[in-house]
Parts: sequence; structure tokens; C-alpha cells
Amino acid sequence: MENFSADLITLLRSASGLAKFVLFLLLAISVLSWGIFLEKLWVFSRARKARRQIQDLNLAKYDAEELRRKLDHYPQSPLSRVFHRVYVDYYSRQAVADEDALPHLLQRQGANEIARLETRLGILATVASVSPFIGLFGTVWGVMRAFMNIGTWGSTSLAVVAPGIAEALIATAAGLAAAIPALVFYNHFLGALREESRALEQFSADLIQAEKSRRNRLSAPGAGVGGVGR
Amino acid sequence: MARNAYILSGIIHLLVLGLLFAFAQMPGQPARQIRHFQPVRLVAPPGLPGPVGQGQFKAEPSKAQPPTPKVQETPQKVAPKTDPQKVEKAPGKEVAAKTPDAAPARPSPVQTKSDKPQTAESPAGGGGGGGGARLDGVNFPYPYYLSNIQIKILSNFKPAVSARDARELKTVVFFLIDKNGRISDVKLEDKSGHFLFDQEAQRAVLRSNPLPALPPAFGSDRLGVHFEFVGSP
Repeated sequence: MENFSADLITLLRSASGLAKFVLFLLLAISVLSWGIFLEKLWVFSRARKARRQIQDLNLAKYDAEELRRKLDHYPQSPLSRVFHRVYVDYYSRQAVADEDALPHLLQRQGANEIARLETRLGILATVASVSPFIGLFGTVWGVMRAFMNIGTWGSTSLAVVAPGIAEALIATAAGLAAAIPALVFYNHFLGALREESRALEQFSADLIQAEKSRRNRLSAPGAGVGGVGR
Repeated sequence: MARNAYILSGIIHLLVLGLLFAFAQMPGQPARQIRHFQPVRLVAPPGLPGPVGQGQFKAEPSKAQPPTPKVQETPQKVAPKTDPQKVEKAPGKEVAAKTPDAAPARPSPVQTKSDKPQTAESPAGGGGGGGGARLDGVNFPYPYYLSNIQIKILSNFKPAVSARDARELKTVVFFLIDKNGRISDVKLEDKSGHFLFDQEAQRAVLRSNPLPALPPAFGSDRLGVHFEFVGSP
């Protein structure tokens, strides 16, 4: 391992300017994709934790104000944020709120939350697809240099060609090292995003159902007011 | 959180790269444990085989190796001092050993200067090199043998390095010679930092295998050699 590392360093030192630039670019890309990974890991893990607790709630049991207070404990959860927006736009203005406005509001806020969770995932996909090509570019350049060395020294011996090829292949290795984690992260977060999306749909359906039940009770003679379940 | 994530990512990358560099800079283990050390500094003008044995012998230029021009002054190096009381000959046992840090310093350089720069280039057209060898071992009074191995190794040393790049390059290859002349334990002891030059130095030693058998009168089975390749324009 030590000898390999040492040789890697000497190879890097004797690499051409363009090869060094490609490697630096790939390093920056890798830092970016790992940064996105860490950020999204934090966001999705908090959302998942909150979602599991919110899904245990029986929405029909609470009125709108109680539910808002309960969901205040999970400010990072998309479900909680959707409900807060809906609460402001629908439940707090019930006098003017149309019954059909609720599904529309839920759909719109849900889409906003999904878009928020999706932010920067596209960068991961781009990194995953572009990095190998950047590495390949460095490799092709290195191979060109190796061929030029053959011309310069008039020799096709391994001693002349191999270092250039080795230097060139580092770029491909670096490209793959940046791309593989980015692809894994992207697929992982895509799965997490689908789960959040499904949970939002479920939450919206539950809210609509609870609201329908409440309105039915309201239309019955002698019913009170309150929102959501009661 | 977003900003912290990128900072954390940068730190992770720096740590990984730092570890890589740290591994690379770690000193390697000495090839052998050295108990007896008789420093013999051999320095040659660039492109020529080095003088042998504390300046008692000066090697002649050889046609077999790429001559390199100009003056090269070997920097004074600190060589370990041998404690005569501890020097023991143990036939059949390995003599080569290295304890450079073990004793007070005694400068033992042999400086040679070539006042007539040569203009010939190595066959590859680039910066060839000179060489010198440093022996670890009990008194080795066979200058002809050292001269022969230097000529053979340098004749196999043809680095594909441009003259400009070859300037100031120096690499040291350590190897052991057994009594039949077979080379073993070849390793780069001190790298020049130029991949081609270092690799070619190692290959030159490997290509020279086998070397002539050790002198029969030499009382040990093995001889450790630190062969210094010096690039010159």
C-alpha cells in the first residue's frame, strides 16, 4: 500500500498540467457531490423520522388547531410544512374556504415540498454521468502524450510508454471515484424521495377524508365547528 | 446545514488525501538490520562509473555507458562512524546492514571534478546519468569488482528523460548481491520524484542481474549496495 501510494504521488507530481487540472476538477466535483450527499442525508433522515411519528397519529381524532400544535414538533417534516401552509390558507379562513379548495391546496403544497427535497439531486445525477467522461478526457490526453513519447524517443518499450499510460489512467480512476458514489447517492435519495411523495399523498388523502367527515357532521342538525376530525 | 455539509465534505477529502500523502512519506523499513557498517563512499564524475573505496581507486571511463558532461560536485554527506570494537566478521552471515543514525558523523566524501565537459549524449537523447555506489559492509577491498558492477549497471541505465528534466535528479537504489552475483531485495531507497528516472534506475539494476560473483576471498555471503544514480544534462 505504501509503495503504491508513493508511486501514485510521484506519478501525480510528474503529470502534465492538463492532467493535474482534470484531477483538480474531479476533486472539486467529488467535494460537491459528497457535500450534497451529507446535506440530503440530514434532510431525508429527519423527514423520515418525523414521518414515522406523524403517520402514527390518527388525524380524525384532532381538530385543526390541535393537529397544528402537534405537527409543530416536526418543523423539518414535509408533512408538517404542508399542513402549516394548508392551515394558514384553508382552516384559518374557513368562512370563505371552498370545500374543493383543500385537495387543490394539498396538491400544490405537496408539489412544492417534493420540489424542495429534489433540489440539487440533479447535480448528483450530472456528476454521476459526467465525471467518467472528464476522467476519460484526461486519459485520452495522457495516451496522446505517451504516443508522443514514443515518437520522441523512437522507442516503443514499456519504459517509455507505461508511465504515460499510468498517468493517464489515474484520471479515469479519479473520474470513476467521483461518479460511483454520486450514482449510489442519487439512487438512494430517489428512493427516499418516492417514499416522501407516497407519504404526502397518503397524508393528503387522510386530511381530505377527515375534512369530508367533519363537513358531513356539520351539515347534520345540531353539529359544532372545529375542522379536520371533529 | 447545507454549508456545513460542503465544509464537512471538503474536510473528508482533505483527510483522505492527507492520509494518502502521509503513507507516501512514511520512511520504509530498512532492508536488513545492520550491525556492521563500513562506509565506502564512491562518487563518479557524471556519466562515469564512480571511484571506488574511499578514493583509493578511481574508475576509468567506460564506453559501455552513456557519458554525461559537466562538473558534478558531490555534496558532503554524513556517513556513520564505525565502532571498530563492534566490527565482527561472521562468515556465512549477511554483512550488509545499515545504521546511518547510529553513530556520530564523520564526513567521508570523495569529490571528483571533471574539468572537461563532455558533450556526448545518451542514446536516448535525454539526460542520462552518472552513478555511484555506497556500500554497507565490512571492508570490501575489491575495487575492480565495484568498478565492474558500476559499468554493467550504468550500461543498462537509459532513462527517457529530457536533459532539462534530468538535471539535479538523484535516486538511490538499494540491492543485495549474493556470492553468486545474483541480485535481490531491489528497492528504491531515495526517490528523485521523477517517475521515469526512478523507474529506469530500478530497471537498470534488475536488468544487470546477475552481476559477477562476489570475490571468493570476500568472507561474507552477501553485499549490500546503495547505488546512486545522478542525472546530468
